[in-house]
Amino acid sequence: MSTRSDLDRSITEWLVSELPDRAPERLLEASRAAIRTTPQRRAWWPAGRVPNMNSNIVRIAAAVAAVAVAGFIGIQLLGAPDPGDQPVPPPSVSPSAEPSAKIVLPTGLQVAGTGWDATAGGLNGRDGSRYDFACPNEPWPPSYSWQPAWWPVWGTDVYTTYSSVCWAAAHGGYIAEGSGAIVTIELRPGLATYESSFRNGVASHSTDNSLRSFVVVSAIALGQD
Amino acid sequence: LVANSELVRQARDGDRDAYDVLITELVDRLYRISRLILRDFDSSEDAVQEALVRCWRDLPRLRDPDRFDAWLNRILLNAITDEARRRRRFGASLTVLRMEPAQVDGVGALADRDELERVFGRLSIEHRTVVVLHFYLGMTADEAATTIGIPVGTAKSRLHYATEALRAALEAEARRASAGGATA
Repeated sequence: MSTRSDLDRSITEWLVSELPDRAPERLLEASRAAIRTTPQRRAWWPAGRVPNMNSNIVRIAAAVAAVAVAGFIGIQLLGAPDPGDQPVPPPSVSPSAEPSAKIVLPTGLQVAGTGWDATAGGLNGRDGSRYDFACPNEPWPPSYSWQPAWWPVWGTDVYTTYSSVCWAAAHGGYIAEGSGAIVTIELRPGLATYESSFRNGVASHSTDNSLRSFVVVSAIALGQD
Repeated sequence: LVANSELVRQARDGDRDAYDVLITELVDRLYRISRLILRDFDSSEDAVQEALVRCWRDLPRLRDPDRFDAWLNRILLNAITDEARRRRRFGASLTVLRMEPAQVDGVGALADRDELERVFGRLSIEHRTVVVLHFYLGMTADEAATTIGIPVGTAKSRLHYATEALRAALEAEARRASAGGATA
């Protein structure tokens, strides 16, 4: 019969024995890419609580928000400069006012990712491996034509693995606005350069030296409830 | 590993370079925790990436930079739980990792390790989380409860259940080995 301390030591040693040494480099790469397009929330936003709508903080917050919205609209009307590499706050891909469509996957189909924010960054397959992603039918952001820097897509025809698979498929013409699909991609080696382009209502960015890439192979229409 | 408070302050104020230095230092630790709990390559990477993005997004809400590590741990655990639920919901298969036998350690026979792996893999994500916080990060049940955001009694209950399951696995394997030795 093992003692408590023997057991504790055995469990700890077992856990430690199978630890990986380091996180994969692609994890940092994909995280940096996602962070580049993620704005920080303001500190005065209440965390996890419903604010008292009569408080001064809420009134001030509403006033600041109104000024921000007015400024945003003004910039759009006056013509925004080319954002280049400057991060632009991404609008929500799935506006909260719209209920998410329930996805109906074909029986037996297992997908590597679901949703318009899913990327191929976590895939460990060899070059040439194919994976399916589910892209539900969701409304596109209304401001897409105003903010080319928003699109989470890098490359043309061949995309970096930190690109959104669904938006890459839309960029390639595999998914039209207002449609959903099961998208099949194939992993490819990384490229030295990735070209930007504007296709099918979607803008992609240029970049260089990604570790891995993917191409969109096919897409089939997705059933919705 | 304790995050540099000055770097946290700079990142909290919107300095992306400071945040990049922070996450470069922290990503290995986060990945190890994620791997231990989720037992899957893809899920572990997705959970850590999600945690790093959420951390950057919500960093201005962190009042005390000295609390950064505990705060980030909680974000990571939430991301791990979300990732596990997401994988279950969409039926993606998890590739359960096989342990490699260590060269020299105190765990003992390979059969023991297989038995631990088998039982640990059957525990829920919630139970595995408490086990990893306690046995890998060295937290007490109280500290684990605070980190996860659950009552202390719940953390103690989960830890007790999981530990007993692992103890039973080791003892069952010991009995099998003993019986095998006796009949040989």
